[in-house]
Amino acid sequence: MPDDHSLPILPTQLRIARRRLLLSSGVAAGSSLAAVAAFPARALAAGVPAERIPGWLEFLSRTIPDSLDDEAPVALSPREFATLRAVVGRLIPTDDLGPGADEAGVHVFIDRGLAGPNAAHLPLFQALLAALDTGAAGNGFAAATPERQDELLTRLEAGELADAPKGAFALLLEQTRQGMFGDPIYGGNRNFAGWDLMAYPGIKLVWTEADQQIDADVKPLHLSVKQFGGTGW
Amino acid sequence: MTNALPKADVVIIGLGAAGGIAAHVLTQAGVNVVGLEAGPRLGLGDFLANDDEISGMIRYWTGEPKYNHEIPTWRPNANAPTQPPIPPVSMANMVGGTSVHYGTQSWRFRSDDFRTRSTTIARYGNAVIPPTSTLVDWPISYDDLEPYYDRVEYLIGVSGQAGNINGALVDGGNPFESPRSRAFPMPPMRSFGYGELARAAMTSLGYHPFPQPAAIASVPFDDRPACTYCGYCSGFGCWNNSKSSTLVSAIRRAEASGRLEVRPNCRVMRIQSNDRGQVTGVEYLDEQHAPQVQPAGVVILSAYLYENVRLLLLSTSAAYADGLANNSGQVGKNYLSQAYAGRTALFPGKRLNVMSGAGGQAVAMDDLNGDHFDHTGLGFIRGAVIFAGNSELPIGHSRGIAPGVPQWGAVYKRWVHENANSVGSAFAQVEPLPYADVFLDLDPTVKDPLGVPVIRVTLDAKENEIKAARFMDAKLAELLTAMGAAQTWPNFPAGTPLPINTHAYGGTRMGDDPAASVVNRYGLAHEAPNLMILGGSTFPGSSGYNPTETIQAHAWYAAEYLASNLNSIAI
Repeated sequence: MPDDHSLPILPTQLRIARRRLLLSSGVAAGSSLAAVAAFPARALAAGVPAERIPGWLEFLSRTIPDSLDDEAPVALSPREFATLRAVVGRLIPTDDLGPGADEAGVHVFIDRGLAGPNAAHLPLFQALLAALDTGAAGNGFAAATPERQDELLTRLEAGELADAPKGAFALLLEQTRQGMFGDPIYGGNRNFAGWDLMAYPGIKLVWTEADQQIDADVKPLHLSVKQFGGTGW
Repeated sequence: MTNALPKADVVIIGLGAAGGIAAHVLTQAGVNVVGLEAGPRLGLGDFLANDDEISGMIRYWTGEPKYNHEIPTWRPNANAPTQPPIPPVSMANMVGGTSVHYGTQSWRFRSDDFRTRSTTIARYGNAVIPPTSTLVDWPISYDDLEPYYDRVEYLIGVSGQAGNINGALVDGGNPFESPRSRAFPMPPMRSFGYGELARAAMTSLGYHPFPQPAAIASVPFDDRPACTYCGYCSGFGCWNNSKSSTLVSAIRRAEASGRLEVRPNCRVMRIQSNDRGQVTGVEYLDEQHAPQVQPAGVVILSAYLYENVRLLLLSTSAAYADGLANNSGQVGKNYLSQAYAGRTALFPGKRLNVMSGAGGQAVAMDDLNGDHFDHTGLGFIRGAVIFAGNSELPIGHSRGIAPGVPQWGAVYKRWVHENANSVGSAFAQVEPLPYADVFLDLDPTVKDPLGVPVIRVTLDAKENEIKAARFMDAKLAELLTAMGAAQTWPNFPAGTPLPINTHAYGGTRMGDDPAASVVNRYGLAHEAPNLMILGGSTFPGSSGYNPTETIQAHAWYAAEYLASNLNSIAI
């Protein structure tokens, strides 16, 4: 098969980047792989209805601020965002094992999703967060003690929290896991906290035979799809 | 007004696993082909940039151009209301179709899979076939397809260990395999730690393990590099060009011939037919969403099953009041959806490293598939292939929590920390039977964004499949325990109905009787002889195996017949 027939499916930039990658063999975090594809933009050009990804590219292209305190919500109100941050911090709490979901930016992941592909869930999340704030009384969920927060979440899980939409807990838990253990490009799993917690090395383009043996100790690489030209979806 | 384009010899709707093979066979025979593909043309950079579990396995970016917006609706039976929307499954709309992102399990069916009715009756009598089942023998045999399985394996590149070459058993392969004319073109995928646990346990239980066949380059093949076992496989395009999709094999060659014109981002809306019942061309929306008409001597409909059925039902005309090739009322009938059992298991203190590898990298056994064991007294017929593999990903592992462990909080977090890399799984892929009351039609109310009705699935779990899945679930528990698991638990209740599935069959059944099927053995519609339908939608039944290689072998068989008889078939 002549080489030029593979050109349409192998962008030159990627070919170069891949060669560099394989030569360096380390897949080191610093290797500056060119952004070879901006898929959402291409998909738009390819006829994906624009309303499916409202403002999505803008959020994704933003630089993640150094401090989570600098994060402004894009779908939720600041109050809702603060409540959500406290909620995910109880679902996966910070402890001696490492950062919890709040420190890993899982609330950022969920908020961005609610402005994009999960926009249909925004009213449900708003109602859920309002129910938790109402249930906490006083200054709301974020200001409550951890014990009180856990009690409210336990009631929510059991379907016994007043005004909480049906099915909301399962959705909240699923999206918390997605944010904690998904690629950091979406705003969660900050500093690879989720992947380190479960000893997932991150994107590792080459697994050797030795790596795939029982009890092989595979070291973390801390590589996100962002290092490979990803923009998230 | 729409101007008709110059007439094509053949127009193919959907350039996936089936359409890609047909395009290759036809263009090699000198036929000029126009390929209309609803999705974009993508490349390795796109795949690398989407190696993440959220885009691939949760948001299903590969289905975003089309499938995600036309998800079939479901009701358990014809008297039940339509259920709330069900989540999408992983479908790819792009040049190469779902072969770009499938898990690469590349099985041949065995000879008895084509004769399920007669072999079952011969061994157990008529009474074991469920009364509402429409179980039939296929109009073609394994021997008909064997040369085409071989060609597919050598064209696209399949890695595996032969078990039976021309009747001689080969050590290390599947002893139940029907005879193949030669070995696979590549050795099997690499062995791996968790797979070796499975192999040893299967052997100790008296079974016959073997490496699962995979449509991946295990060694360099056709100027493509060998797999690097990165773990982003099933649900992902291959950044390394190791996966043997039709995009990088059949379609690439067909385009190199100069006789295939691929038109990406072209969404077919309707197949036209004349008063004599022949198809004359297709109406589609081009990349700019402008309506076009592509006249053709032959139309090949090779989209995924749901779209095959939908386009037929939508393409009404003077000759076909109830949908193209549907004067028999058979379009949409005899639908099947694969059933499964799956178990997760905890191997405390062991690092399993299964968040790696390739979808097709697995250890499998066929001892409980088909009719390889005595079903007397079990209350079900047919069986399942059982396999243990890897290609797990972190979000999936964050959900696979042992029963009794809290789903959140500090205890959950510690459990994930201590056990996530110590959790493995095994699956049984159960063969479903066809039933008279399991079928597809157009949803009367739900439409896609273009205003076109979506498919409605009418399906419930049946006793035969529930019993089979429960039986297999118990076998999975035994297997995982023999592998050293301290605890095992089901991933989902065995026998849960899956209304929509990437392993779905039927709807345009292949058969000899025009009153009871839609297409003949060559995929040509009984009622519209210049319309060819390819894909799992033509399967009269199923098997415990993954369907893609059989879809491809049949597409080759059918396209070769078409190429040889084009003058008499085309208008």
